[in-house]
Amino acid sequence: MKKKLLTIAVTAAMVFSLVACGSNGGNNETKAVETSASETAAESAVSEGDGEKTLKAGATTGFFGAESLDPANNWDGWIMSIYGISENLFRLDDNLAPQPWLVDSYENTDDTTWVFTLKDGITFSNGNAVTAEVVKKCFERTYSNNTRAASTLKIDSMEADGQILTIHTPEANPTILNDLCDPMFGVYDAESEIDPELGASCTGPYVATAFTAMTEVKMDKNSNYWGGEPAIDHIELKIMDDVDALNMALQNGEIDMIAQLPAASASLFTDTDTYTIGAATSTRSQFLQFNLESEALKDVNIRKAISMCIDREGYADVVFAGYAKPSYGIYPDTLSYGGTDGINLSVDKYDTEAAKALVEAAGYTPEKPLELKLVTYSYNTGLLQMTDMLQPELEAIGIKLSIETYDVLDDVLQAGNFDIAALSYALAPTGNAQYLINMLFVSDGTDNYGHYSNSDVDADAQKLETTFDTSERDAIVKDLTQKVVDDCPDAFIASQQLLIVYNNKVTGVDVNPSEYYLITNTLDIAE
Amino acid sequence: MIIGITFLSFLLSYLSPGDPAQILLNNQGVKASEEALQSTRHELGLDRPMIVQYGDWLMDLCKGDMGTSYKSNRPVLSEMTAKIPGTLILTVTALGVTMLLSIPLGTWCAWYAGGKADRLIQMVTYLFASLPSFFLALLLMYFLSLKIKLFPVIGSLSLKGLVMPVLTLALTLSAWYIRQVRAIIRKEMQGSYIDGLRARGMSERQILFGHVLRNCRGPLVTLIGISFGSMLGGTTIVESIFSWPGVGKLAVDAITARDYPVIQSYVVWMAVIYLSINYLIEFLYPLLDPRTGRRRQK
Amino acid sequence: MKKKKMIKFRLIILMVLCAGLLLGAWIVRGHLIHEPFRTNVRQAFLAPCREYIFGTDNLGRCVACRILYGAATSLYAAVLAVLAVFIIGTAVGVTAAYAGGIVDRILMKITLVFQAFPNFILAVAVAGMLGTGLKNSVLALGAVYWITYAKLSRSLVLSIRDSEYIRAAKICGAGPTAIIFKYILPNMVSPLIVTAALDVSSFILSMAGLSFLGLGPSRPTAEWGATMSEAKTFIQQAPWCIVFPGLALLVTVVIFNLLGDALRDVIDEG
Repeated sequence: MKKKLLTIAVTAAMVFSLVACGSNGGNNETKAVETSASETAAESAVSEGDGEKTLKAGATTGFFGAESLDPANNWDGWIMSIYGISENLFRLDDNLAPQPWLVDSYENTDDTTWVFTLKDGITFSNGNAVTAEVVKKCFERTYSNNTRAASTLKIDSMEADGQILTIHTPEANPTILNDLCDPMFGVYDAESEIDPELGASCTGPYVATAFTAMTEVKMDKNSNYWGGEPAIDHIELKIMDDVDALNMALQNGEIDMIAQLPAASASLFTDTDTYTIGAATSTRSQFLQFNLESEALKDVNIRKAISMCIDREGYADVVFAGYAKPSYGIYPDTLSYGGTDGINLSVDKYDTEAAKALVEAAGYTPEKPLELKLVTYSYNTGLLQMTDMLQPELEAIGIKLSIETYDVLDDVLQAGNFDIAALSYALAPTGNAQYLINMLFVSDGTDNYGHYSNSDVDADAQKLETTFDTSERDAIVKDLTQKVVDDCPDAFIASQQLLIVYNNKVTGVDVNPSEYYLITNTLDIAE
Repeated sequence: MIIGITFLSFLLSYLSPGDPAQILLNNQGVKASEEALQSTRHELGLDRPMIVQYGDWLMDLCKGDMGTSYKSNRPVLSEMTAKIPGTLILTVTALGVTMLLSIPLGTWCAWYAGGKADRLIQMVTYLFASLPSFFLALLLMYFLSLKIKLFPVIGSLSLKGLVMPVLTLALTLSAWYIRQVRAIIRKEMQGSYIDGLRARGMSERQILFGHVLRNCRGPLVTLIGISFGSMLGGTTIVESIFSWPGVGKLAVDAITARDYPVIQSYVVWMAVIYLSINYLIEFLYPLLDPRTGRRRQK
Repeated sequence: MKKKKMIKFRLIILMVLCAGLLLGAWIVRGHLIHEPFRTNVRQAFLAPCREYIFGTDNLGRCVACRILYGAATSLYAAVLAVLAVFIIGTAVGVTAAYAGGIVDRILMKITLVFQAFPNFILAVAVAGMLGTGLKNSVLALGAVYWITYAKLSRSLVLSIRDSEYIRAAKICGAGPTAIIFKYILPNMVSPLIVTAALDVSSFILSMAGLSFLGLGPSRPTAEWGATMSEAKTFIQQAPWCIVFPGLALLVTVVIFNLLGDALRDVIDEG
């Protein structure tokens, strides 16, 4: 009995603490219920009343999911740029060429010195002026907080004088302007305190008013926006990985827009009287990365055989509903160095017979199969369907694939705990081919999880780093592409389009191939 | 008991295949070298015997420290307490609806047992009890949100957003509950005292409301305790489908992200809530059931 | 008398039906017209027609063939798992009751601890910690289901243990194993079997729930819950991909529920 009393007492204590913790939360929640209920009731009245405009958009965590609103943290700068909160010194145009943004003019005084003159009169959302000194501090903080910064753009030193920012690079850097478009180098007020919830003050057309990581973001327009007053007053972003819920939410009018719509859902929005699908060929591509440490995959023929078993055409036409293009090289042909012109392809079609011969030659048969483990993201429906297609094809020729899915793939890849990884990357979001090369193909690439190493490729990459002439650069990338295609450390599958679907009340949507931008001051919604 | 629960929860994550050191380092964006792994393991105390780790973990738990989420890098406790009210609102409302639905229907079925309506209800409950709740949820979503646009798909914490998750939970549970209520009341009605009451000329209505239902209060309350558990379990699926901001969704998200501290504390919290409800009921039982009450007085 | 016959007749029909289901699922697996996993994207999303009576899914696979193939996974996982927890749970219960004393107290404490967790939540947590895979999800559900058998068998043994005939057997010099296997088990098996039959359907349902949350068998699988979870994305374009597996699940669960009820009725009637 005593024991029981004790148990009850302990439980009671825990419950009490729960109630104590919960009651604060509880009050807030009930308040939230009330306000949101009254909000829905009052919403129509408000939007008709004083003409305030609200846009609601949704996307999956891959496109909208920031961990925080600190541009220096991990990949959050990218998402904040999409949100329309942060802006860069340069912005990519529709051809992925960098154009001045916060910068007025720039000058390349010698190979390693760049002088940027910032636009006058731009302020952060907190009212502070954007000066060269603040930008310098902001970059310094970003470099110390984010390891990707130094691998993207190597900087020796910076000097600030009024609106003039001078950057010295250790070596000649022909792609510095592209690199500065990477939203990781978003400009924020590093001199003021960075709010733990609402993040840093930036220069963009919208300012966050509420932020729940991976769930919801609310923003108001930045009335002092330097590029002209934003058209929409409030923007609400819903972040959820349930694609069906997003589709239905757009269909029944809960949201006005879905960003990065999976192509499989496009058929729901074909009614052009109601919806518009904006598309741009992005540089995003899906590919298999082979683990070259894995014994069987050291044989290039096995890698090629697997690559041959991918029905790229069927995948692009059906799974991607035509919103993707089969890819046998590396980069999409929309880029001057992309496509497969002039490349000698060893895998140029879906050919299971040839694959079977290669696998048989290596000594595997359906009766005595090679067993491989493929890892991929649990939420990427496109890739999951690709693996579902690939698996029976491989099984028929003597390769047994086991598939494991992860929400967070990084630790599995880092640990080398895979034979094949099915991945999806933006190959050249800044238009710069070097971006991907430094991640995947050089021996010490940051995302070269398969440990591919070819000294010729490394030499090409080195050469590319310091070559200024565009046609010369394209030739180097082509040469490197040939070598990678021959070695087949990665098998590229399809380069896909970025789809934004919205109801026809929304205007001013500009689908940029870089995936860096979505919300701008000209984005508008009819009442 | 508490020791048992916490130990089992601890054991779960202790036996899980993920290496916390590796996950932590990767989340910090550091490429994990073997030395770094070793030192992180040491820092986290992962190289000590299991029982010591458990002791530490329990001490932290008592202090209200449930660790840090791998995914969001925030204290698990605050993540949980922010979401628990959402789940409780959902469960309690669903339980209320279930009772409103099943006690009258179950009583009615028991009273007119064998009749047409009884058979029809029995059949319907059979079907609902055999339907996976996620399937019901999808059907509701398809018809109520998409076709007649009555309720929102994205379940924000609002009255409108509450309807469909509650309906899903309540309908699946009611199917089971109606049958139980019917059985309890039928059993009570077979008691010999009923015949005695009838012989004394008491009206059927008086017998039902004055005696049968009053005597069944105890078993009915016990049923609530049991069903509270399945209700909590059901919230995982329902919250995920309707994006309801509760702990169930948090836990499912944590599972896909291999966020072990969150899963662990979710399990502990749910057990504590479930247990306290059942202790509460055990405490209330003698007050509700006149017979056990009398027995105590002896 | 007539009623009794009716009940027995119903039970026999249902038993034949269930056996047929199990056997059929096994046999049909090797004789499907279309391969359940081979994709053919050029035939994706065909509505039900003559060639594909339940239509095709997003990758052009035959929905009907996948349901039939998945039947074996769903059914056998459930039946074998229930059998396993039946044996383990009963063993624990009988040991506890028969040994009594400290062993009983410890074993019962353990079941109490397991019982403190809401069932599905414990299963979700175990499956989540172990990772995906058919084996893991069965283990997770097993961790929840064994308790019922342990508690039920313990109380049954306690009620039988002190009965006249057991005492008689003891006097005649029967050892504990003989008593348990010859006298106790046969006398307590019927209520346990009723529970087991009903558990098969709840196991199938919970399994589908786990699969739906992504905690089921790893890919590729035709398990019903997983199939439905995938098909959910296409509910608008191709409702047949989710409705037919759902119906298959519903029918199977109803049949096993009816079997459990019929068994109980027969036993109640004596």
